[in-house]
Amino acid sequence: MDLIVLGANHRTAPAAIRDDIQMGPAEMGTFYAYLQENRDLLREVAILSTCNRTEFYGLVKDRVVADHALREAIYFHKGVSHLSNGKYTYSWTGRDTVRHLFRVAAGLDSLMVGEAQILGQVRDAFVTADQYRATGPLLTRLFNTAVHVGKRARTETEIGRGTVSVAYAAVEMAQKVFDRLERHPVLVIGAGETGALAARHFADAHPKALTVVNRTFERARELARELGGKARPWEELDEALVEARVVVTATGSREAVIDVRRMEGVLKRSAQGPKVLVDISNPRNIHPRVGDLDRVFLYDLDALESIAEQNRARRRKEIPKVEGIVAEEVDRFQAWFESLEMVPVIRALRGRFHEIAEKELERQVKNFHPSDREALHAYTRSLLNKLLHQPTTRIRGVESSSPHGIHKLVAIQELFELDLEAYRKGRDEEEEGQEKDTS
Amino acid sequence: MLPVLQLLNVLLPLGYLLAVLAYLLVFLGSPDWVRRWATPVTAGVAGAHLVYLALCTLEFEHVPVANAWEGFTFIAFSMTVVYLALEWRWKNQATGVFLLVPVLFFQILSSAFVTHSREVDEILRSPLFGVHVTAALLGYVAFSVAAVYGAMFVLLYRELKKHRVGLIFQRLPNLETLSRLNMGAVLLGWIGLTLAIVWGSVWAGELTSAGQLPGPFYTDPKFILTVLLWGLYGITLGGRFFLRWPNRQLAYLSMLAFVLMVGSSLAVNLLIPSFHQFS
Repeated sequence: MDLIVLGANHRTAPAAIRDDIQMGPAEMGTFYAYLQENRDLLREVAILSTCNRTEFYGLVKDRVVADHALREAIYFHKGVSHLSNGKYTYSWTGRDTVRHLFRVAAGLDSLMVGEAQILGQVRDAFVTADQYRATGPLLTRLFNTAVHVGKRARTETEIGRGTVSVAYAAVEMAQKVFDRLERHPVLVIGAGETGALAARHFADAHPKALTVVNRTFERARELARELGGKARPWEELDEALVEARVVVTATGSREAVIDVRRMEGVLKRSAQGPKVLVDISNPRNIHPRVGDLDRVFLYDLDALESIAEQNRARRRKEIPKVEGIVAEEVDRFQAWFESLEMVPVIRALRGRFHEIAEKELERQVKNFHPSDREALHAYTRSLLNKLLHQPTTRIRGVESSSPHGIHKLVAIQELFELDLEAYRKGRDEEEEGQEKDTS
Repeated sequence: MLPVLQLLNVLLPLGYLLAVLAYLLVFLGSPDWVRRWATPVTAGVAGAHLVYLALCTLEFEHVPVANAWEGFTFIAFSMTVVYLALEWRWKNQATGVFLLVPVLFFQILSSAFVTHSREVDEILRSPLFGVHVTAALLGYVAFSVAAVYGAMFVLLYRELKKHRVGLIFQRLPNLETLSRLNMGAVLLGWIGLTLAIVWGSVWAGELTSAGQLPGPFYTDPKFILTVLLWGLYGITLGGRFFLRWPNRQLAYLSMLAFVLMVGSSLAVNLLIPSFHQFS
């Protein structure tokens, strides 16, 4: 019984190949149905498919055979042979598989380190696999732990802090100036492609009002309609500037639309409080000296890029901390995984019963005559052996590589609160002691 | 009881120093265990501080506000309680280091110079004194908190102007919130100080008529400095609500007023004789 992952991502395969092997919801159904028919090869399976990666996680009996079968299945279903050799792919087994998924969930394997979307995609991948009944106790635990790792990485470190997208950096800066953007009006000057993109980002933050001003009024009206805002003619620009708290400029003008004199006039007529100006046009629409005015926070493309880069650098610094979390969780998962073997479970179960019996004997032994004590011990041992004979035989018969068998082993551990790690340690110490005695 | 009081007098600044260090580490992105322990440690120090104040009251038979040094320890305690309440309300530990530094400063001053005495002026036993002092302390605590928020505002303002998204940007609340807290605290402090001045003046007038004060209360240096301070904070509020002064200037003004408040308190208590010293 082994865990494997086979996949291709942004590091190993170009976009065209990733597109070829990416799986949509409809394809997933047929693919999972096909894998169900090969349950003897892949006991459990889950597919994580995004624009940057397509990965197959599986619990297999023979990893070489399973790897081959998976590659064939992909060829058969997608009609592409990219994965038939190892050129664009990677495959890991055992502990490396666990580590890989945990790194993916933590955002360490993403194109933009720490991006948040991948965590939801990992969760969705498991839910989909579960819907097709392709998962079992092992992948359930693996994916649940992966989601837990992703959450830990984002709460305990700053891997996910600060935007790394230039387009969104403007919104982040505005949110650091204002308590709630919902209380403040936003003005977008320019209704071209860039203006529309910035306007959409701000519209997502639900400002109090969103106004679009453009030299061609009709285009302003179209964009405003799309975003649920209002349009104003170019002649009313000063009025709109007075009312707005956040101003985004993205026109094709070769000259500054807002200069110091205009802004000073606007500030005199505006309500108290700051204004955030975002200039994402090239050449710039806002004169750089406007940024020196009191109450004005000006961000042009260079400033936004510098902000995004600072955030990227901070995220990179957090990587060792996140790797630490991943390593810790991999160890924990591995310990659990290894506990799904029969022998340690039997050993722990017997140890637990003997421990209880020893304690009880210790308490009761004083009530017996010294001559009867040896007989009492013998009787207790015999009783325990008889009681444990049947469960031990049954556990030996469990097929520990099947999902059903894993369920049984997990249930036994939970039912009797078995601490396999403690028993393992105890056994190791015992063996060490014996070795010393012999030497 | 005296040895316990002396011990607490030494331990309190050390406790606050520990709290400041813990919150500094939290601000710098400390490991989880520091974050978990920072609040309980500070609450523990505040608890010990409460015990200290209670023991002082029992031992010296008056609430320990008879002089500025006793007042400072009261302010330190009140600011800690205010901070813990704010942390609980916001679920944000990042501002702790900023608010606890002045607490440490006040407590060090108090621990270094405080002298307690059972022999206090009869005035201190009057219930009118309690109202006067409570209002004045409320004012001072609020002004101290306002100065801290003012400093945070100025720091974040600079970071935003310079397009820097470092620790200050990451940890502090947004500019609008800081400005609101800054001005809110100034308003609260000004109301407290107004009440203290009006109440104190009426009461001092009566005491002067009864011949219990050495001279007219309005010639007392502490009274004059307090009124000047009240005026400065009043101008700050006027600038905010009527003249629409920029928030940054208001933040600077609240910080300046705080420095004058501490400076004048020290000057009056150390250098100039005043009827405001009762012990």
